[in-house]
Amino acid sequence: MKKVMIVDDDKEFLDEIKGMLELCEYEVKAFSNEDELLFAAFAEKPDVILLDLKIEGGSGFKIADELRRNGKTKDIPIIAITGIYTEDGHMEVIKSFGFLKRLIKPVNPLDIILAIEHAVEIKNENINLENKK
Amino acid sequence: MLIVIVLSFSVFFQLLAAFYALRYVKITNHIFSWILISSALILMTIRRMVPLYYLIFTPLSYPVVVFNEWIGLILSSLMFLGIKGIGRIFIERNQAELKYKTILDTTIDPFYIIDAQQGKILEVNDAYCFLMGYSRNELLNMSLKDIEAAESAEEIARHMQYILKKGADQFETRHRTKDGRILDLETSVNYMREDNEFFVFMHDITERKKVGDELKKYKEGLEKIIFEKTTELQKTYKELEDTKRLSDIGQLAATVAHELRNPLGVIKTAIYNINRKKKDSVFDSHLANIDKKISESDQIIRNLLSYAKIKMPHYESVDINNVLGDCIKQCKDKYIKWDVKINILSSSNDKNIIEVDPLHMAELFLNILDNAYQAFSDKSGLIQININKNTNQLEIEINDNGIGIDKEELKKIFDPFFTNRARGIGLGLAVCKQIVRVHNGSIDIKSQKKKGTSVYINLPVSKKHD
Repeated sequence: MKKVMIVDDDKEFLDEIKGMLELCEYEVKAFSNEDELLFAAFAEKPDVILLDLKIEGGSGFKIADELRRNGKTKDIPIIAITGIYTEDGHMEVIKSFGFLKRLIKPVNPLDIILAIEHAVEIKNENINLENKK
Repeated sequence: MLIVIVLSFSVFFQLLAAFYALRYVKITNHIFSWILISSALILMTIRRMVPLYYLIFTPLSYPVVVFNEWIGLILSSLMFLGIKGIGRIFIERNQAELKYKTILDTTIDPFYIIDAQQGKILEVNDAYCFLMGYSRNELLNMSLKDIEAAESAEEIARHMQYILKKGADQFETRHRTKDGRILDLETSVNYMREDNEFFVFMHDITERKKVGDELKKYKEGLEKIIFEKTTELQKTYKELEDTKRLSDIGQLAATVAHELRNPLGVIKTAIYNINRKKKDSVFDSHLANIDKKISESDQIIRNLLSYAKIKMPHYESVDINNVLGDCIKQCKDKYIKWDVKINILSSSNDKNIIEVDPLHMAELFLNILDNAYQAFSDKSGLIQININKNTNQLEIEINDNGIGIDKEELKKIFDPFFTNRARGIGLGLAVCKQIVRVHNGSIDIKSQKKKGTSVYINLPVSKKHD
């Protein structure tokens, strides 16, 4: 079972996303603050991490940066979910922080699943490439 | 012996008087009078010399009345004193006249005297001759009506009557010089009742007036410029205020829209979860409705955001026919069940390529086409699009034969958040106007209730380089 971690300050959003992903048979860990997520991510190394870019008392960009700096988590694909950084111009900044993809709220549940699957695929390809080296 | 002395004095006084009388001929110019007087005096002297001769050369043969000779002496001395006295008056008068003439010839202000009845020029000074370009003799043969340029003969007569009554006047007038120039003159007139003459002093204010006129013109020009600038400034200020208001609204709208996206996202996911978990299909239609409404809300949010973020266009060379074609297709897809015919008439058979932002153009046409569709209350109608391209401008005219717009509504049609639709937030045409504005173009709408609406869009063919 693919393990997905998600951080968002909207509890209902977390509930519904968690429910939706569990229905699709993912193992989901949802967090409402960055420290909990980082702690868990370093410990459990999930397959994909979904980050809200703007959360109360924190920032998805900051979390992404921390994840990228840490050797244990630097290869975990991260996906941004945002209702704010929606313009084309924002995409470059988002990518520069190591996000693989950006999903714009309100997100279609199927798009989330597609993005997760796509991310996992890329991650696996990268691992294969490294193994070949 | 005493008689001889008396007679000698008489002769002396009479001769002296005659001498003075002759001197005054020159000073006073009254030649005839003074020659007569001096002749009389010389005759009287001769008359006195006859007894004197007899007394000296034949002392006893000539009878002399002593009393008479005394009287003669008194008369002679009185005559001498009288003539000398009168002469002094003449001299003084002469000096006064000389002074007066010197003053008039010294002053640089023109002066003349005219007869108070006919206006005939009686005296002029050098300054006036010089100013008018006439010789003194020429002027002395003229009258006021020959030189006056501001007043007609009747007006001159009326003005003279007025000064006659009032005694004096100061005014501005104009005189015509010998070479035809018109001079502006500040004039001061005094009526001399004794001589029935007007004494007129003038001051040439042509230059001053010219400068004054120029100053006035300059001032008027300046006032006009100031007025224009003020109007322009007010307009810019209003536009700025509008823009600021719109940008404030846009900012607020964008914030609200972003915030709304979170709950909408949650609802959307929740619907998905319910759909997955439910065991029977009784909720299906309700869930479908919720899903549809979420999509509609999302569309509103997108409109709001697109309005808030209209910025400077990213110019590209675009074939307007293509953009329009895409938009028409989108509309036809959206209103798939409607019976709407769309005709395009282009002035050229070729492409209509202009420099614009293609995304802006698409937004513009979609909004206008959507409005046209909304004008067909019975879901059928005709949209006629005319495109006309010339060297500088591309004119696009989009006509529909829909329900039309009220005059009152037409005034507010471009105002943000103005709408008469049951749904929609009234940003469509505000967005259109903004788009056209950032492209330095113009948009206008004409409409007749129940007949239809025409939208006129003018766009510069190429980006303005400023």
